[in-house]
Amino acid sequence: MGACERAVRLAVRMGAESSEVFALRDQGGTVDMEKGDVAGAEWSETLGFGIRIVKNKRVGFAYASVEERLKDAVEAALRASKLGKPLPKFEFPGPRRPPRVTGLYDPRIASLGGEELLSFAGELLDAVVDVREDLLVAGGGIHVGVTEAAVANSQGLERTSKETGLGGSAYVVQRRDGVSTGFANAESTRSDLKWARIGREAGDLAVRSSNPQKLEKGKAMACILRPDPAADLLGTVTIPSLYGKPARRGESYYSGKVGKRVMHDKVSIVDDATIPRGLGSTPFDDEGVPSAPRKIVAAGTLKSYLFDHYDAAEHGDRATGNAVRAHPFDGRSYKSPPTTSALQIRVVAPHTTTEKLVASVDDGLLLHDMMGVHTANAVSGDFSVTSSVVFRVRKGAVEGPVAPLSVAGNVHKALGKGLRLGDDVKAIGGSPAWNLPAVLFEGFTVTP
Amino acid sequence: MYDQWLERARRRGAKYADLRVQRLETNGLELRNGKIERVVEGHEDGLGIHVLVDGAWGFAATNDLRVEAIGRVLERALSLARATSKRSKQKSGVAPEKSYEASVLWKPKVAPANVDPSEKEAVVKTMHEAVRSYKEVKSTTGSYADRTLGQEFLSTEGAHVTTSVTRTVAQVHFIAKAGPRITSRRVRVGATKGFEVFRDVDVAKKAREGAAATVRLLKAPASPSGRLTVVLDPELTGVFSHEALGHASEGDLVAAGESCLKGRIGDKLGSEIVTLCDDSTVPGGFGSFPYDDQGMPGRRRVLLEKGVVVGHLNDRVSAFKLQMHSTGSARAESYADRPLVRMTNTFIEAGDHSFDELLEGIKEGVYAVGSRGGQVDTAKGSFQFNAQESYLIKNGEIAHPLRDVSLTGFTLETLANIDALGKEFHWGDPGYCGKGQYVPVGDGGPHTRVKECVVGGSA
Repeated sequence: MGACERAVRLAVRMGAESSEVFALRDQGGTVDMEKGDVAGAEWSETLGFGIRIVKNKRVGFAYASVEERLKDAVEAALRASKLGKPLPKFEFPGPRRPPRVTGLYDPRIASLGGEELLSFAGELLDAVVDVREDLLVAGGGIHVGVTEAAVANSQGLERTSKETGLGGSAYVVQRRDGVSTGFANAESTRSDLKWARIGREAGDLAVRSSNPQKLEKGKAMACILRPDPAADLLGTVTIPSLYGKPARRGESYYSGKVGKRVMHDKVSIVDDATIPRGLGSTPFDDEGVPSAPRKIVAAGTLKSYLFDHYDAAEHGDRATGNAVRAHPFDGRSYKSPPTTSALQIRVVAPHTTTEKLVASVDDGLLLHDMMGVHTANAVSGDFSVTSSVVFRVRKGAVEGPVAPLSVAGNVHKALGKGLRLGDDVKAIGGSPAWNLPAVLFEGFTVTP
Repeated sequence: MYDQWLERARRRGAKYADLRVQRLETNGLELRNGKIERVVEGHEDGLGIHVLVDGAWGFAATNDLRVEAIGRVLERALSLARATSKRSKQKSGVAPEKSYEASVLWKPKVAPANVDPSEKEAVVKTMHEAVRSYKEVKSTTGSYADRTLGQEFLSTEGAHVTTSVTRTVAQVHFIAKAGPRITSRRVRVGATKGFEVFRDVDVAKKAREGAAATVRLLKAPASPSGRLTVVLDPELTGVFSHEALGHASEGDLVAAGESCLKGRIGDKLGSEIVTLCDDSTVPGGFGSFPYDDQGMPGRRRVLLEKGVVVGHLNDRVSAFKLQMHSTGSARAESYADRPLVRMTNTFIEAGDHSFDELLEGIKEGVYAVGSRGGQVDTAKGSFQFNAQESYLIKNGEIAHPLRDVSLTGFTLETLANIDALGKEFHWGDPGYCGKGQYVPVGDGGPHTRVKECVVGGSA
């Protein structure tokens, strides 16, 4: 924090009207698995500073990886501001007290060493072989991270936060009557994961998905998406369409629809970074704005878009505490200026147990994966993807596996028709993070 | 000056160690509707150490180049390797290779650092204006980026390779709308070159062509679905080369049992007209480099020759496991990442058909052009990718545009179903491949005719 405050003052001395410094220290490690064994381990520690300044109503940004180069970074940010467009309404947020969000830091995770991570990997690997001896863990691993963030600005805002994360995944291959695969993962902010459970789940799935039968013909079917593919689909098509910039510019399906019905009246979308122990939870966003739960869509009606300060200033809106520093390749990074993102999404819709959700389907599919979701058209809502770990659901019961098939549909239309949720809520990390159970969509078209 | 750390690694029990020190300089601009939105300039230095102790690897990295930090990460790498060695059932190693001492600085003809930011802005504006000349194009997002990466590689075997590589890229992403129909597309120009890339390529023409095709799509009906004959354009041929075949050829996936090409060297799997290569020496290729991240020189490697599997891509670690040689394919996204086996510029060699000959005899099929991305399951050997634009082929002629076409299949089946290749070769747009880490890649090929390809349209 000391370096941030010094740099904020330095920038003002060097001619900035106002300034902001964001620092991120990341320490973390991974253990990779392959061929039923641990394959290697790695560790990295990085610290860096992203600096934003305002001069002549224009915003400039630059970054540096060492404190000694902050002066160069301020100069670069001042240079950059000359190219920027004037944004008279832009100002950095003032200090407001953030909420207390619990369960984000676990000292047990912060003190984990290589030995412990390798022993977690061992538990996971053993559990896979316990399912069936000829199963092979072909990929996956254990990862751990400790992140410390600090943000300071010339409005007097000073914030620091500290978070931990621990996760594991397994990709299991079974070569018996052809090839079948299974995948499972779990993440937590606390040291409470059951490594053997991840291994068992992946192993079971690989066993259950062997000998798939080809779907007899293409047709519209009810599709139950497990939490991961459901989050992937909604996170690619729906959530970014609710960000203020594309929406205000008429580039989103939701453009011009604030106050209007955009989904079925039993569907709500909530961004909530205050959930205790949530993977996307944080007391404040990457500009230092306190977190608060926000209904983006309430009972099918669009309430508001999401904004960081820059986009809000451009469009005359208020920032919603949704600034993230997301690098296209590196994840959260000091190297990126803030952009708008949802932090942690919950979907509210009619729900029941996942068992009853399956029981309600007369003829449909249960999809554990979707390949190619990133090719979906967020504007039109159209998508066409492949699912290769998929089961037939008939007369309310999960039957055998189905051979890889193509699934196509329109997400915007599907949300208009409504959806139903199970109760197997899964915490999924990322930007945004998710708290999501299995989701039943009606009317996707399936082609064998 | 970094030799001391390798010496210390050796004294502390490492059978092999290497170290990469990087200095990265980046400049970027983002434009919305032709107006500058963000300018980002940054410097980052960092170092990664890879050690082999008792048959196990450890890797650690930092962006703090002070002595105490380097000492700390070296100890971390050593302790991870030792801990892995205790747990690991299979012993790892490093395939024996010659050690190189070299300094190859690929100096761009026009160094981006010497180009005024307004010229960089002008490139993106030109692309923006070209696509906005179509009234259906409602908005654009453009960006420019240059990135100069200096690297020093040293190993306990005496390798000492210094490289410098500059990559420059500009793109425009636009949204086109007509009536209720709305679609988007990206046009990207870039190379492992300096700013001269924009003097070699007519960016306005390329952007205009992209916009014209997208506008045509707005009025297009949905694609038929089912098993059809498909003609892939060079860019999609490149995507197939990369996604379906290239990934399955990666030695680390082969060694891990995750590839459908495992144990298939010498087997004839494809049509004999298909020869697939990966080549990191293509001048200006987006995936090109002089030396890989284990100090091995870049080279051209044939993976499939006349339909027969003749090799895999390997770094020194996968080569050890497979008892093969490195193909100079070790690449890491940054100093903070352990190198993995990666592709560079991947392509299918050209054949001998004209475009009209490829269409001849197709009663109903799809001509698929450009890529909206793809994905692959190398273990099952299945792939999925979506075409940027597509056309119905009717009785040997291009009939009309189709929208949202996706292609699905099994790599080996598809490979056997390639029955004709065009005679003209083209590279696709520069891209980035994600395999836990992102690295720049190129891909390309000729027009490719595939029988019985599974085509899916949208609902």
